[in-house]
Order: sequence, then C-alpha cells, then structure tokens
Amino acid sequence: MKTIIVACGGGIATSATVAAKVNSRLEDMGLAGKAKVEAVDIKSLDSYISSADLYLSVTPMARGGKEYPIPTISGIPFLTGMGADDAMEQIVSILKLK
Amino acid sequence: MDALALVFQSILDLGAAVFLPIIIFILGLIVGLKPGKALSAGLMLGVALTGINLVVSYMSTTVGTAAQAFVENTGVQLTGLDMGWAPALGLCWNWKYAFLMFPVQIGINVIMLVLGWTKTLNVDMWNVANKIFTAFLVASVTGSAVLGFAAAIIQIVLELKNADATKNQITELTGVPGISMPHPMFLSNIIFYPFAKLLDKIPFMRYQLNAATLKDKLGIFGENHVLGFIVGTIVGLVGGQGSQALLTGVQAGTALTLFPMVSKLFMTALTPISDAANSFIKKRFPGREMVIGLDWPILAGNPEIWVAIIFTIPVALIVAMVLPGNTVLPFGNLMNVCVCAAAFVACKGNLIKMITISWLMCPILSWSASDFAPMLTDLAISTGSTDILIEGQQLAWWGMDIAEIRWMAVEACRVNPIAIAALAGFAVLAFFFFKWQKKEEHDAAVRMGWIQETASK
Repeated sequence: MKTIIVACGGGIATSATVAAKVNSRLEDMGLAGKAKVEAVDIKSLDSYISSADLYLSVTPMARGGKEYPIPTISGIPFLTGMGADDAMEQIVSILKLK
Repeated sequence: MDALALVFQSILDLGAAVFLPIIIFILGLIVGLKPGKALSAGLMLGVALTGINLVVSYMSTTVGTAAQAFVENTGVQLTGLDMGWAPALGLCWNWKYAFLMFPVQIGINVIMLVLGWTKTLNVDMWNVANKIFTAFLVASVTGSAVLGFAAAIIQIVLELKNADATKNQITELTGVPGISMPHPMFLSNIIFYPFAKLLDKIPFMRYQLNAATLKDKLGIFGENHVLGFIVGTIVGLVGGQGSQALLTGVQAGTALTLFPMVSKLFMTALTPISDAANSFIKKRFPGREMVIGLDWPILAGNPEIWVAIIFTIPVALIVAMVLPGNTVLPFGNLMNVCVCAAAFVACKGNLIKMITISWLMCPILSWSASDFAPMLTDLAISTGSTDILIEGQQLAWWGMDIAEIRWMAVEACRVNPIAIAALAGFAVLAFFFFKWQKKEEHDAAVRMGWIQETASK
C-alpha cells in the first residue's frame, strides 16, 4: 500500500478536496487497494513526509519553494480540473501502480 | 398530506445531522452521482457534523473547564472559548437554511458568468459555509432569513469581483495561470491594501526579513498539538490547576489536532457533489474564457504567512486579557490565517508590514468575536446537543474571516450609526481598491511578460 500525502493550510479543506478526488479516481481505476491519499496539515508536513511515498503539492511558489525528500508533483490539476488525467498518469507511473 | 408533513417535520426535528444527508443524497442524484456514491457522500456529511459536535464538546469539558478556573482565579471575564475556523464553519451547517446556500452560490456564479460579469468559476465548496455564516449572523440580528441571504449574495458578488480584480497577481505569486482567489478573506484587502501603502511611508517598514529562516526556527510553535499544549498549560497554570495544567495542555493539544481530522470529512462528503456540478457547468459553457476560483491555501507554501501568524499569538493573548469589553479567549484560531494570508497579498510578502497589520487587527478580532459569541452559542445549542457546552460557557470564533466587515454589517443591521458610517466609508474604499488593482494587475502582467510596459497606462 503506497501512501500519497497532500498538504494545505489546515489539512481540512483544499487538501481534503484533492484527497477525495484522487482517491475516487484510484477507486475507479481499480487501484484503491494499492495506494491511498491522505490530507495533512502543512504545519506538520515534516512529520508526515518521511513515511509517505509521494507528495502532491498544492502550494506552488513562482519564486521556488522547499525541496522535499520524496517524489513531488503538483496537485493543482485536481483542483482546476485541467490536466488532471495527465497528473493521474504521473502518479500511477511514479508509484508503479500498474 | 398531513402524514407527509409529520414525517418531514420529525426529520427536521432530528437536526442537520439527519436532515442534511437526505438533502445531499437527493442533490447528488440530481447532479448525476450513482445512488451508492450519493448515499455515501450524504451520510459522510452527517458524520462530519456529529464529529464536530463531539470534538467541540471535548474541548468544552477540558479546555473550557480550565478556562473557567482561569476566569475565577484572575477575574478576567473570558467566558467565550474560540473554537477556530473549522468547527465554527462546520457548525454553520446546522443553521436551518444552510443547505440553500449551495444552489445560491452556484446560481449567482453561473448568472454572472453568463452575463459576462465575472470570469471566475468558484469551485471552492468549503467556503460556501463562509456565506452561510454571514447569512446566519444577519438573519440572527434582523430576524429575517431573506436579509441574511441578501447579505450573502453581496458577499458572493464581491468575492468573485475581487477574484477577477487580482488574478494576475495570484498567478505571479503561484506561477499557476488560469486561477483566481474568491476567498472572502481577501476582501479584507480593501482595507489592508491602502493601509500597507501608508505603512510604506515609514522607513523601517520596508525592511525585508528572511521569513524562511525564521519559519524553520519557529515552525514548531505553529504545529497544532504543540501550540495547543502551550496555550492549554498556560491557561491551566493561571487557573491554579498546578501539575494538572500539564494534562490540560495535552488535552488542548488533542482538541486542536482532532479538529482538522474531523473537519476534513466535510470535504470528503462535498467533493463528489461539487465535482459533478462543476463538470456540468463547464460542459454548458465550452470555449468561454474562465478562471478557476480556488481556496487560499495555494499560498500556504509562503513562510511569511506562518511567521506573521506565530508572531501574533502572544499579542493576541495579551490583548484578549486586557481589552475592555472582550469576553473571548483566543484558542482554536490562534493560527490565524484569515488576516495573515490576506495581508501577505496586500503587503506583497513584506513581513514587518504583515505583522503590523496582524497586531493592529487583534482588538477588532476580539471585539467582533465577543459580539457574535451569543449567536454562535445559540446555534450550537439549537442543534439539540445542549450538553455540548459546560455551564456558563460560550462558543466563539476569534479571528474569523472578514471580521471587520462582518462586524460593521451586523452592527449596521442593529442601526448603530458608527457602523453605518464605517460601512459607507468601506464602500468608498472598495471603489478605489478596485481602481488601484487595475494598475497592480497591469504591473503584474508586465513583470510576467504577458504585455509590454508601453501597452497602456
């Protein structure tokens, strides 16, 4: 079981939205047993990131942000709906779910 | 017919935790969800509401008890306990007309898109509750749900207009094109933005602090369990609990850690519905230029926001202790993004200006929270779970979004002449704000290379 985490300001709204969407896609693809997305609080990100396999970031910064020790891709496509299929493919290939 | 009315009434009487799942289930079927998914989503909303009550009740019996000891020991009348934004907005769903805000927000948004009055499609469903809260407040003071919805509609329109008016700047900050930010907190920038410009006249205000380094050092104080432990222990110690204060500290940390875990269930419930609704809308308007309105945390990677918040915590607590007329102990919302994330945009990330604004806002946040506490308490009690509060305690939301605007609006409804004058002043400021943003947007577009400097002035 692979763990994907997504973090936002409180681990409540934005991150939980992305988690719900990606989990639902995983379910539709029949991969629900292989990976799961969890919404976490960005203020405690350091304690979650070491035990996760992939970080879905929804906090892009044009000036460049922090580097993370695990593979990181943008979760914004799941919020806007644009490019969500491609992002999903990336998740599947990075985690070798198929 | 009578039997039907009786069934309907008895379901209503069981409260939002039973009533809303049925509404969401029906809504889910209407927007095309499979019955299974619709049922799961609806029931999850009931679970979220019940979960919120559980955690609020836990907070009241643990931190609330310590806070009462604190009141008795010090004589400082802090009878209201701030539960923070997530439980407060969760609680709003218990208002009897709450579910109507869904179709109202989506309907107003679609109408404005069709008429070309906005480019933003707001897909942020969490903050539907922020409109419910406004409507609930206005309805509570005026006794009219219609006026409540009128206030909420004004808020929806202003949010979309503000999102349109600042979208280039958001793209510049995030590097993501095609998004905007209709979160209500950014309406505070109608005041913060000109104020930040005034602060520029003071020389040392322009000094840039390195927020990333500060955040690495101070970040631990922003973690829910650590912050809860510190505040809980202090309250317990001043309340004369002795070594028991450490237990209060751990319990306070528990409350702040459990709130998000329960609150995120709201989004698990609402996301399938909003997804279906949004794809419905996008299908109907192919080819129309549209930006997607997102919630504020897209900015949450910026360390300035968290540093400004942490620097405000001691000030917020001291202000709460000494401010005449304040009755609320800031607790659940001490990590106050509602001011600092908005100020981040208004101050263009200048930490000293952000902290200045955040400190100056503390009295307003305390007074408005005190003013609204009785209404929130009544709402919590009206859910039928009267036992969620210990005797003599009030529930409050310190540091709510657009506290200053909501306070003006509610007091204006109470025909307070100062508030009416302030609201008129705010309207004038809003006019100029939107004008100023045109230049900011142009400048942002130039910096991103979208247009040439000479294009227009």
